[in-house]
Amino acid sequence: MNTELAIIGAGPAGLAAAEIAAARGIDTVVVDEQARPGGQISRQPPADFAVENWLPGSIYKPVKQLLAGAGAPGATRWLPQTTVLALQHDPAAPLPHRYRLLLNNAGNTSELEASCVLIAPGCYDMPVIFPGSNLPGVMAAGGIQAFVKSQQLIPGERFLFVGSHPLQLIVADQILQAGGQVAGVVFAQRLSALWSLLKSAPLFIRHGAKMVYFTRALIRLLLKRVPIYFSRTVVQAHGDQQLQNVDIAAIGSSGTIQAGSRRNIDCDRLGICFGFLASSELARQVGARGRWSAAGGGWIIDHDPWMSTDLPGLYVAGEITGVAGADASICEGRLAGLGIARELQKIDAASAARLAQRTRTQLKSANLFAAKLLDLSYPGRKLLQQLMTEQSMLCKCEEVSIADFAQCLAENPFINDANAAKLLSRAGMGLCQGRYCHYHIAGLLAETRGIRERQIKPFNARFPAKPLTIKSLLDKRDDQLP
Amino acid sequence: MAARITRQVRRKQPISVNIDGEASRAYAGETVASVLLAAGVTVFYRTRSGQPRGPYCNMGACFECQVKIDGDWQRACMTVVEDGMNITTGARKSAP
Ligand code: FES
Repeated sequence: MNTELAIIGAGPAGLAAAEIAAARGIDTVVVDEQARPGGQISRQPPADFAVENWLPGSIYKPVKQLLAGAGAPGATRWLPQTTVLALQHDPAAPLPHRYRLLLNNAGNTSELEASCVLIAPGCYDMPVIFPGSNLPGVMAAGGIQAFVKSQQLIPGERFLFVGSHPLQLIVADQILQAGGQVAGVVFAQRLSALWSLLKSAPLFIRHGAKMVYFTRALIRLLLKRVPIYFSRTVVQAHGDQQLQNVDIAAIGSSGTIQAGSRRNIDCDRLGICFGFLASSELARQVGARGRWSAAGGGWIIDHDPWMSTDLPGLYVAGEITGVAGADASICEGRLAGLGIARELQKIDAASAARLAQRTRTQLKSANLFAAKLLDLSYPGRKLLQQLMTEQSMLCKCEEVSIADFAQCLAENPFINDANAAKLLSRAGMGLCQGRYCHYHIAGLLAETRGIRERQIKPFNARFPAKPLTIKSLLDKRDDQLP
Repeated sequence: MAARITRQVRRKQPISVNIDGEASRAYAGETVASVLLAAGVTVFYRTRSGQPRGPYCNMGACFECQVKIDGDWQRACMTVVEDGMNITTGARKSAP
């Protein structure tokens, strides 16, 4: 089957674009891996739950507004619980066949062709590698948050949060409010860095709701006497079969971890919150031009003012263009929607430009806030690499340790791209397809070879973008989608 | 252990799944990961070398929450529970 527009991802960016596409009468299919639209920021509870007062915070208002019309049967076709395995571009094919998507829904594969594609896949928590980082109980802070927001589950008893991103204060607060215990929140930055964000008057004026929300969470934690540590980091997680306690240590003024300052904190869940990586694999697979941003999500994708990539008809919006949060994603989704409408001649260029004007102003302001936040929260390669002791797992899937990888680089002195390093070391060959080691492999290669991360060619993003059984491929249904 | 939030949340009548041969309670709409965590399961699978692993990302990206469901490896965080499912936890990955 085919469509004018395929949107990959039903988070803020995808929803904003879908809204515009629907209003302009563009035939649209929205594909998303979750059961309900919303993305990670507004991951909805299951339809079988009735939740009163869901995500009451004012920061969730814009996304909740977008959600109001999303997912309902109508002109837009919604494909939930569906993964895009492959995205191909055929420049010679006539319009509706220009892009081909191979989809997987619960083991049933099918094909979708589209004139235009918007890739809005969002991001995931940046993994951080240290001894014990793979113990059950060590989790992404965003993963913990999704259990609370969506599944209405407190996924543990006693939580410790470590990282460099202020989101951890919000997740810690949500855990407390849901009835869990919080053993502490550990920031790598100095206290003064956080203060600089809180006291920035221009940010308060333009982004008042966000700042108030954040400050309230902080105050609630302090009132409950949750210890908040600064200039400290996790160095090791301990436990037999399951996390039992965590060592944290001080970071000296030069950025060096002070081994002698270790202290141990009991917890059964450790939330890791050092920022986010963009999910750029489908865009890389289809061949869109991108670049490296160490602080902004690793490999991100380039675009023009209408969010078009260098491939005709291929658009990107949201975190894939550089991690900047939901407000910026909504703006980019709108711009992409208008850009696509323009390309498909559903709106004339002058009206599109006029309609885009306000969104562009909002985007500028959202990006300023995002830049400030990235500045504050990027942990830096020096800290990340100090955590990776020799025995820690670089590639958790294939169990390639930091020492294994270092040895491989030492034995092959001419290797300096991620793909070659992967073939030789097996790091990145597992089921997560490098999502959890790629960023660090780039950092390690850069460090060892004395080059810049942006000079390192990223992993080839192969088909299938997520593993599936051979059986589901053989069962491919070429008939129509629902 | 994990706990279901009950304040301001209404779930439907419980359903039942088998976790390593024992009947366990679950609710429509829950993911297998939630059901397992609420039942106190910590080790979802073991790597080829035998290391224990459990959910990390809770969004389908990391593949750390794999369990066997009715005999097939699945990501527990991306699978919605169904009445009568047979879930095996702690199984070890074999060499490829
Ligand atoms: S917890 Fe990461 S895929 Fe399920």
